[in-house]
Amino acid sequence: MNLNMKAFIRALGVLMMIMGATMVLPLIVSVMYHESHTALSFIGTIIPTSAIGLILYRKVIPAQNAMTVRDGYLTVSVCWILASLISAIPFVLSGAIPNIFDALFECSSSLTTTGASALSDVEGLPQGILFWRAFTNWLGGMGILVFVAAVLPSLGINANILAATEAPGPTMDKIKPKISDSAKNLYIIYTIFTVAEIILLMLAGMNIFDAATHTFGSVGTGGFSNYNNSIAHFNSAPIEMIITAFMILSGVNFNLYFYSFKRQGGIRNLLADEEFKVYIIIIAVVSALISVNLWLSHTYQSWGQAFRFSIFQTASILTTTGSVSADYDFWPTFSKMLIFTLMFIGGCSSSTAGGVKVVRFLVIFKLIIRSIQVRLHPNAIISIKINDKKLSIDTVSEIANFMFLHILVVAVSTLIVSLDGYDIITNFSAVLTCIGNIGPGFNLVGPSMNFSIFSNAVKFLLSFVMLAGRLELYAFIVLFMPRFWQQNK
Amino acid sequence: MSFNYRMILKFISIIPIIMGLSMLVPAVTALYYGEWEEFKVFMALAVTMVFIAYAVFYFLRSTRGIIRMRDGYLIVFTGGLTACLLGALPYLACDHTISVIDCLFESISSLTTTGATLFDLGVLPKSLLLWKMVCNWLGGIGFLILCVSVLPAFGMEGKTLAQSEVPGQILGKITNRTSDSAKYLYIIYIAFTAAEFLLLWMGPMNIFDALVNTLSSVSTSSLGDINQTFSHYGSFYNDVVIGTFTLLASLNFTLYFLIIHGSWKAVLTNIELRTFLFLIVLGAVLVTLNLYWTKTYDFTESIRYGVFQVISMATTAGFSITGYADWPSFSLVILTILMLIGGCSFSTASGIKVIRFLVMCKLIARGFTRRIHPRSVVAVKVGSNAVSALRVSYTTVFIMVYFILIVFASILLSLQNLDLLTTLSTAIAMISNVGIGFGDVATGNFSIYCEPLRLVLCLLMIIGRLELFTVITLFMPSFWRPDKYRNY
Repeated sequence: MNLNMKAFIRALGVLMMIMGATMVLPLIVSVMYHESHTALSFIGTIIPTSAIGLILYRKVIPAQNAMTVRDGYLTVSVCWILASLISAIPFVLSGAIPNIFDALFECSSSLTTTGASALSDVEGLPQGILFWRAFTNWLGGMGILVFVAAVLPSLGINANILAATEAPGPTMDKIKPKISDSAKNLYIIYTIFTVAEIILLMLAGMNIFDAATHTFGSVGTGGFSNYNNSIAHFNSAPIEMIITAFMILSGVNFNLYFYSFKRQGGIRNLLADEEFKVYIIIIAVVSALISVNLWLSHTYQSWGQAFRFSIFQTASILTTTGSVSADYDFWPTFSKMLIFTLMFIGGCSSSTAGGVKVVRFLVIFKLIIRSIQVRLHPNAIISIKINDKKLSIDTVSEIANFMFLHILVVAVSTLIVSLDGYDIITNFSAVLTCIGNIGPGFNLVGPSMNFSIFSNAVKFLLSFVMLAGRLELYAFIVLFMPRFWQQNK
Repeated sequence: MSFNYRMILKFISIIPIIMGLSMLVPAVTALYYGEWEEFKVFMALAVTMVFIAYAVFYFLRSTRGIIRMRDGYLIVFTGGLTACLLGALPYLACDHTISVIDCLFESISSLTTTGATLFDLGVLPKSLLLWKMVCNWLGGIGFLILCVSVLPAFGMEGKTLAQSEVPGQILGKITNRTSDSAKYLYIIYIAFTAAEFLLLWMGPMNIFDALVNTLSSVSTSSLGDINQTFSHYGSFYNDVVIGTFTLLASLNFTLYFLIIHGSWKAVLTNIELRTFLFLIVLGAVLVTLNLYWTKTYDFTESIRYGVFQVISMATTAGFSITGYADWPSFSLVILTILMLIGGCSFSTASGIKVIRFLVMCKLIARGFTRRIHPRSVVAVKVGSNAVSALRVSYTTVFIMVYFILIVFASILLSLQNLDLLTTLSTAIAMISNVGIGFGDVATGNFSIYCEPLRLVLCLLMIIGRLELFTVITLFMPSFWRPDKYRNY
């Protein structure tokens, strides 16, 4: 069994065309703001990218459309790397970010919905570039290839495997008639959220440009803002509450929204879901604890303020958005430690959020309980259930493997990042925030800081860590295994 | 179904006898150094404890009842608790401190071979210091007993995994009963103690210092920052001797059987030993190079301090070089990783254990194989033996619980409002029984924590030492009413 190279190259062609097409939007924005230099750099990217994409799409016709899982890994991972590279071109061409490593870091950060920036000053950037930065957040939130599957089902590429690889997560639900259909549904809900949030933010007093960019950042759980101090720039409780609500909504399994409309039982499909319940409980408990801690330690003057900042930061970190309305690095250690813990968890499966995902922790927790029961009652046969469905032993062990790999990747990356000589918490939280696609960390990479302190090599590594985290590690790292490239005997 | 309380009590009554007898060692020291107050305390405690416990042991008739697994959990836990309580008595009775929690902390820290302290060891009366070290030593041997005789009965995977590597027939030749093989373990442990003591004594140390260092290193407990407590210890000879014996104590003790019986091949091919040594060598080389390149020390000092600190952390002993917490963070990350992995199973070291770490790596590798060949069926192998699915799942759960506990403990400890590094490293240092962290706890002195949190630290040390599940199981409701079984 060989890799289906032609289908792979054709998929790359499609991706390049799509990237070219989406760049028309920032092009329009920069024309509107009379930024001729930026507009030129977008045109200079769009034309060659689309042209090459079209040629590849036209000329490379695979003998068969079938893609194996291996093809899926290869295509998806390379597509994401390529997408990061392409979206970095305008940054470099327009001179907004002259350093190519910074540009790559910025783009993989926005596409993977991380929202970590290597720039110390974003406010000086041209509007077109700022829009592009936010829009890639939105694009990456639902996944580029899911987009491919949704919009162009008749491409001649079997996109099912691609979409499944891109948004992996533990599959709890096999009821998906066609990936392209469910991908379309996901994008419909995604768009509804986006439009709703833009309108609400404008009602709360933002101009349309700010409303759009911040919506892209929060619905995509990316967290890029066009202001240096993020949401704190507005210092407005209504805006924070709107963004909080949409961050929380985007961290929920999108399929559940769809079921709530289409299936029997309506909204109960959502409310009865175990993962959703745990997700809401985590937000409630952690934000309550943090607000009490902030209030008792007199970090803020009033109870209301403590609550406002605690719920925003909690939602932002748990949904891996990473927007900040207050610098949590100045909070008491208890609050900081809770925020730190949230960084490990992440949002729900099939959402735009990154991280390890709530459902995996749920399964691990049940596995622990079961193991204690089995020790006490060695003959008992106990199965692990989520939503009253038994999980197969393979699913459980896959989840455990994922956790282990996560730990290993974090450990090794921290080791390499620490070669730059900064303190442990900086290094550790930088890796954690990148692999979980969050954005801010602690100390030198805290909410008011940025990643510009790191050397080019470390930025390059962190870009890869973000991509690996977004594709849930295995899909990405498997490419670096020699066995992957060996032919089957 | 109730517990077999009579048997549990009988088992536990052995502990005061042992503790009482070992109190004679510090009593003699007190006599020698003229610490009359301490001498009286130790003698009084020793006599009372031995007398009462012996009476209980003698008059309590053993029943025929079988000891179930649940009784076993209770024996281990209450036994450990008794030992910790009794170990705390001398500190309290000697009026060194008035806080009961501090005394408990001190006792638990030595019996779990952590080696953390709340006191200034430099001003502690010599007899009390020695008592702390004797407790270390008892903790080390106590854990070996636990490994050999108790934990396997609970289905703790560490030993079984280790033993699947040690060829069964060779072990069988030496002994065919567990209690016999346990006896060999103790003899080896005592032999190490004697050897190290003699070597240190021959060196520049006096008899008391040699004893203190021996007891603390052979049990992988440590004194924390040795340079600060005993300024004249900066001798290369001492570093080598202490380092070597800490390393020896953290290797799988069953391997020493095999050496005695000449089967070197089985020892050299032992996968856990190889991995452990590989990790230590790799860690030592990286730390040394890092120290040298960042010009923290000159080349020879880099090697000496780097290797010593790596051994000290990897074996979960926790001796520290003064100022090691200010080393470049690359070295500190390596030390943290080694600290988490810990020593070999079947040794006095603590931590996750190398064998479990190996299983974890194999699982990750299997995950890749599964993804490249989705329909393949691959067994997890450690060395040449396949590990059963049940053991794999126990190992998985163990590692998960380990990390989850570290996170939860850190959240609790953060109430002290120290910086993140100190908080996190305290949790790791306690649960892996290393006894030194980074930041404000680099010297192994944890007195910056307030009293309620000191109790949390105590609990963490116990949980870490008793391999997590022995303690966690006790908190399960179904442990106490097992007949009403509920499916979770």
